[in-house]
Amino acid sequence: MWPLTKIEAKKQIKDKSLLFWTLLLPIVTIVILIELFSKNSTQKTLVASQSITGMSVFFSTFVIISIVISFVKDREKGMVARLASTPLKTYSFFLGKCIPFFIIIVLQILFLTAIGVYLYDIQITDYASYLIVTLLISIWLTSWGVAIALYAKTENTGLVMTNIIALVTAVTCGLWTPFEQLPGYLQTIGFILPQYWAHQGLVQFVSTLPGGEGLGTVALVLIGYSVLGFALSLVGYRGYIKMARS
Amino acid sequence: MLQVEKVSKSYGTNKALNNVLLTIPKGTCYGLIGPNGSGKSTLIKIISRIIRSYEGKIKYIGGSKGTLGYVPQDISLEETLTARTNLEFFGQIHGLKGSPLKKKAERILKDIGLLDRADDIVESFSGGMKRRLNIGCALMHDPELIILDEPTVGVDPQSRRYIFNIVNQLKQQEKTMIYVSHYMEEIENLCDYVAFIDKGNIVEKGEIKELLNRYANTAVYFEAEDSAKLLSKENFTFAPYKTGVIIQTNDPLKTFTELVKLSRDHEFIPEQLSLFKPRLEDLFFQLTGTDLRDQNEKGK
Ligand SMILES: Nc1ncnc2c1ncn2[C@@H]1O[C@H](COP(=O)(O)OP(=O)(O)OP(=O)(O)O)[C@@H](O)[C@H]1O
Ligand SMILES: [Mg+2]
Repeated sequence: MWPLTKIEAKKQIKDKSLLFWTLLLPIVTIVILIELFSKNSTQKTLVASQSITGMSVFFSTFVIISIVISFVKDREKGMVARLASTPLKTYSFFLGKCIPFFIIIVLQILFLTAIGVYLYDIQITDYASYLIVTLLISIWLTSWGVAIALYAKTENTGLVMTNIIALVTAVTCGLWTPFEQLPGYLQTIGFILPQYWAHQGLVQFVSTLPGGEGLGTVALVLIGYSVLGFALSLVGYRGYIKMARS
Repeated sequence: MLQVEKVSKSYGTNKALNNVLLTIPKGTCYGLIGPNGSGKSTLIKIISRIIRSYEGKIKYIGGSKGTLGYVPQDISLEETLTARTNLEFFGQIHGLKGSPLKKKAERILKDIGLLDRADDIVESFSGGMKRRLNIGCALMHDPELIILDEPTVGVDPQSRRYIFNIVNQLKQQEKTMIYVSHYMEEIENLCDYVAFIDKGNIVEKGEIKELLNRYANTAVYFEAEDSAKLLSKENFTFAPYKTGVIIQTNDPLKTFTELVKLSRDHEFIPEQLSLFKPRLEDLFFQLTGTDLRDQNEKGK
């Protein structure tokens, strides 16, 4: 399993597009938002708190694109078939490949948060709980990424699906604008989506930002959506393997 | 010894393999040849445990399964990484690590002639270099059975030489090999055994020397104007071949005499009269009625 994790990590580090989506674009977006919407340092901290938690959840969605591309390529280039002739177990293949993406998401969120803490005086009240929410977000997104990847016919499926998810959640879950300011019907939609809970889960441990949902509920929702992702993956992996090996 | 026992495989209504029986002795190179779509890749994917739903059995007699190195027909590499990283990855999958891993990668890089390109990205390689690496990756764990699916397709003579050297080296180490190819010359030069496959059926198989002898000694090639017409009148059994005919016979000298007499009687001198020494190519044509070369040109 670890050789797979290592090689996947190497591939992803080499891939400049991942760096762009996970770090460069979020940072630029956050800076622009802060500069546009704040005049003094108190406002800066407030806007930073909103945008860093929001963008952490928003941009981590884009890792799904990388997951889908990686799995579809492995299937189409015959790597899955080739590995089937080795002692590598099927579950080691999936797990090994997922670990780098899981770590990428965690690092991304922590890095963006660090920017907020050091540059914009964001106060995190409970680092351990903040980390737990981050880990849960990463597990959930990775599971969705794999689920989409296993059903995707082409790499484009990943692109389209991710963009739909990103767009819908951006509008309804309060990632771009504070949730309280959204019209009621959008709030209703946002309320059932994991992104809302992910965001509120982070917000709850940022003292410079009002609102937030309790850790228990957030954990439950995110675990629930992760289970959904894993269940879909379990159903889909046979088709993926079959397609890859014939 | 590897035994393929009554293996069949269908894709929907399309029967890719039909009751395939093969015995591959330990330490031999077994050639598998047939036109496009005849089921070669399907068969070796079954042997390589890639396709796992099929009818029949793959048996290993007198020993365990052993380790297996599969070289896929398509190049399956991590092309955004270096040659060395690819080799080490496949070594690690088989449990190699530390300095044995490094040494083995170095050794293989030398064998496939890529030592000076070891730390270059695979994307920058030529087709032939990628093919060589594709083979190298399957050899990292020193497998006992090596399965190569058309390893020389679309490579230049230099790469081809490297590949032949690797195969010959493996032969010296008495590894068992299954070598799939479109090129009869390759099989004739590299392999000890051959199986012809056509539309999912094994049409002939055996030791190459023995097969060539068997077919060579029992036929006479005859070419003359209207030879077919003439021979049917005289009750010969024959098959058209190239611009003449082949006559199967248990006694070639007797057939020669008969044909000479026939020529004398009809007052002509044959264009050609010779013992038919087929190459594998001819043998295949004789057995299936299809010319592999034409087929492949059409297929590609
Ligand atoms: N995944 C698949 N789905 C449906 N049919 C398939 C599949 N793979 C192979 N076939 C069919 O099975 C038959 C044998 O294919 P196979 O790839 O084994 O041939 P081959 O001898 O390796 O050909 P080539 O020389 O072109 O590599 C063909 O008719 C092919 O169309
Ligand atoms: Mg093939």
